[in-house]
Amino acid sequence: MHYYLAKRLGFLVLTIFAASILAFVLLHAIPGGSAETIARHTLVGLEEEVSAQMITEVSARYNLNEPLWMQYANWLSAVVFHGDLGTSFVYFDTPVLNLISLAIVPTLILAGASMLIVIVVGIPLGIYSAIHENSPGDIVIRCASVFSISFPSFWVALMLILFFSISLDWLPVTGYGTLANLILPAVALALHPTAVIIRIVRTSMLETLGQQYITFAIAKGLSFRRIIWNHAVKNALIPVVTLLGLYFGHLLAGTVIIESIFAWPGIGKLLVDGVFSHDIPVVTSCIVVIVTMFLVVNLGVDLLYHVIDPRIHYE
Amino acid sequence: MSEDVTVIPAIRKIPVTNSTSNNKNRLIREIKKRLGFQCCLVLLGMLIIIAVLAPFIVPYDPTSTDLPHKNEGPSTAHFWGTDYLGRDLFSRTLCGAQTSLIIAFATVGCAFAAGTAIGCIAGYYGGIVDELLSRGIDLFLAFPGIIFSLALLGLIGAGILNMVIALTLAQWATFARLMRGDVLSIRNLEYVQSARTSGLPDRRIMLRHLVPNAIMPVLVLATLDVGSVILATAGLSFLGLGIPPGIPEWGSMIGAGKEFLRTAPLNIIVPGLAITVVVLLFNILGEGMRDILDVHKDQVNIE
Amino acid sequence: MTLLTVHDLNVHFPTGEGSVHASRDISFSMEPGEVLGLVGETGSGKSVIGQAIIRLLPTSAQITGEIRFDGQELTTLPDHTMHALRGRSISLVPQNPSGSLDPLIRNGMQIAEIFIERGATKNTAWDKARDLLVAVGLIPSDPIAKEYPHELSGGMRQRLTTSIAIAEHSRLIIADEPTKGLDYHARATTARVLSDIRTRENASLLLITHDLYLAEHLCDWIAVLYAGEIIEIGPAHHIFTQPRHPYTKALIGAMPKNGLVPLDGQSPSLMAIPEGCSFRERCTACSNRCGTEHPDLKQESLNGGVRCHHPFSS
Repeated sequence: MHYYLAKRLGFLVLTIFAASILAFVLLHAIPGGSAETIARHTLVGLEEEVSAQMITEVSARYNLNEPLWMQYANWLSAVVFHGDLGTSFVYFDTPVLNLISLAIVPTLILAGASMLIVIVVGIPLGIYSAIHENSPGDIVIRCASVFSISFPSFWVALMLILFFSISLDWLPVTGYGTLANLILPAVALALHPTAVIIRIVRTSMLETLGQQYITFAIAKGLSFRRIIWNHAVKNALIPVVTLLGLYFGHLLAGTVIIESIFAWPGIGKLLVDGVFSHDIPVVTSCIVVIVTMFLVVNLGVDLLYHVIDPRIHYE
Repeated sequence: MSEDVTVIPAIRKIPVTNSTSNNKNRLIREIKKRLGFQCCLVLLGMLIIIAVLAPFIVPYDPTSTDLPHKNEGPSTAHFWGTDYLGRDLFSRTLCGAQTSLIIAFATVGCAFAAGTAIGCIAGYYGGIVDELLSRGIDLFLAFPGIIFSLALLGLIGAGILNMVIALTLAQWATFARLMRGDVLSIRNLEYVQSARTSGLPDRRIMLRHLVPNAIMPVLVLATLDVGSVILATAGLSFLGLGIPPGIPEWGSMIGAGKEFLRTAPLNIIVPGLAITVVVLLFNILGEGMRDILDVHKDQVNIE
Repeated sequence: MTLLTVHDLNVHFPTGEGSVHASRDISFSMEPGEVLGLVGETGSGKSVIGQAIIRLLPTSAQITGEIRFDGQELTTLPDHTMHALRGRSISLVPQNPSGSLDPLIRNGMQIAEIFIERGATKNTAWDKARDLLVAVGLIPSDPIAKEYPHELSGGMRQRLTTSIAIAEHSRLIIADEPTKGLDYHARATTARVLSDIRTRENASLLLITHDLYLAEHLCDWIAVLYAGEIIEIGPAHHIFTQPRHPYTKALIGAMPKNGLVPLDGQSPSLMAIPEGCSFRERCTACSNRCGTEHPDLKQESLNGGVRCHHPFSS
């Protein structure tokens, strides 16, 4: 078991490492990362001309004249040995680490709240839908799910704002700090994954209900309640657990847009702002952090899967 | 214990004996059974025709502004009203369909081609080739959602081609992984083994035997992916990335119109509904295909 | 009083490619304590009969005819009344024990949950479960009870499902292919377990099987099925020593101990049953009449009946 865990952790670290290389290369090797663009974004307004002197200045300051691999090596050693993720090009030389540590909590809160909605709303509705297959309730749930998967999340967010903030004035639009601020972004973010989970749970339940051990449970004369909850649900939810891990990743990616709309001060917003202002250290670090979170959650869910299914052994 | 109704879970599996009809007949029969799927096919056909002909059939030039008539509601002059610059929403929405579909089909086409090729090679050859390619696949899969495309677009700038590249790079790995899995499960089946022992060149085995059988689920994925790509495109252009300013695109229309949420919500509602409807159609198509192709899943034999 | 009477049972399954007539005009009866064997090839529709009795056929199945158990007509019972009989009065030993055991539930719990449902405490339930494991020869019962089904061999799983079937002292136990896929040793053990049930429980056993040795060993009466209908029924020793239907004779002849003489051809598809006698195509003793006129099951009181125009004489 320990060997398996060590192997998975090893792969995790390697993947993060590789992802960081990819992100770094992307951002530095492409025209947008050149000294000229940086100078244009940081030293002057976007419309004005950049002087040659500015370019030299920027190149020297950020070591942009060195070979790419050396830039990466410098960056990596700074990260690993000093926990130094670089300094923001934009925010007056604020260490990126500070920016990220401030941003990570709001994102975790938002992602966590959305995940909670997905689990608490999605799973029961999926189970209900499966048990009462083809009933009016099931049909309503399925139609709603199919539509919810097709709505763009940012549009849902805007519609929610239109309805709850502007028309009804029940909830604030932007801001961070209270539960009221959390509701709209969390719901907007959770809608799509919830609909997906409802359908996955429903399919899994239906497939489980068709299994021979359910038929035998009926033959045993067990009560409906016992058959559904002790046998069907338990078996049906196992594949769903791993998918929840995957969907956490989508949630993380979704925070990018949702945080921008609601001015939620999380990593997503930091990333988008960084992309627009060509703040390369911020963008690289945000990507690495997001990828790390995604991979860690995935690994956690995989291990959980091994724990809850007695048939699986660690190889 | 008391229960009002004992709802015993219905037993669904239907026993069958030997099936005699061939695949094509069965396919047609399955499609005939599904009215919703047929409607969906018809609507998609109409959508594609509209998208292709859009620039020719729209009543107004989608880019011509008309500031005195900005943010107007639906009228006889403007079917769906005007946007914040006085441009006709109906025309812009129709042209947006063209943009979205071009990007979506190009992206899915490339991702599908690259993904299935790489996945097939990885699954078929195994060994070190598989290890390397799998690591590559995992690497790209480590970037959730639009993170990768976002960063890439932010730096290479706007443009339809750039958009397609950015999205393809984000999508191909999903196809590759699925294809690899399919190929792995089919590779060891007898008929492939016999093809190998009879000395056929690898490439022919792959093309003739493996690919046709392994590719079905991947095709279904491709159809479903079109919807995802349209949503991703809209999301990125909503943020302001990827789409050059002149070209009408639903996401950027919403992005630009969001300031007018309070005053002229049609700017946002119309393109949003357009996205929803198109993605919905592709989702129904994809799921209908998955349903039809998997039809033998719940049948058992009589004893 | 007769425990079970099945009269003119017909089962149809509508499928995408036509209607499958899986059981045709099935009629037989069972006394308390009797062992009746339903014997036939794969595809002869024997399992369907067992499933019909305990009402576990797919919801799309169309059932006509009568099934009277203990004086009650089962086919028209409301769902919850029928469900009250399952496990208690009528039990099933399922055909595929591996697929029939919930993989997430420990072996002991597979049995114990029946008792817990009826109100027993967890400890009592597990004690009873362990006793049942011992009764079917799954010892040492404690470690086995704590394990999961995937840790047992095929034969052990078969015994586990058998122990579940006898948990509540059911009056009728339907055993569906209890020795299918088992190796020689497991078959012998299962046969002994089933034989023990007979003496211990005094239950009636409806044994559905293609294993003729098992049938010969256990059954009092045997009904031979072909293409969904009973073509011969009678006391076990008669069937094995003086078969009257050509199919039965061929079946007995195909047993290894009798020379392993195989029978040519295949049983007809249940979607396209031929006119006349279903066995006509493979029969060596048929006439023109067999091609046009479907033979009835001629009852011959104490010695059963045969569905043939030209049966061998007894």
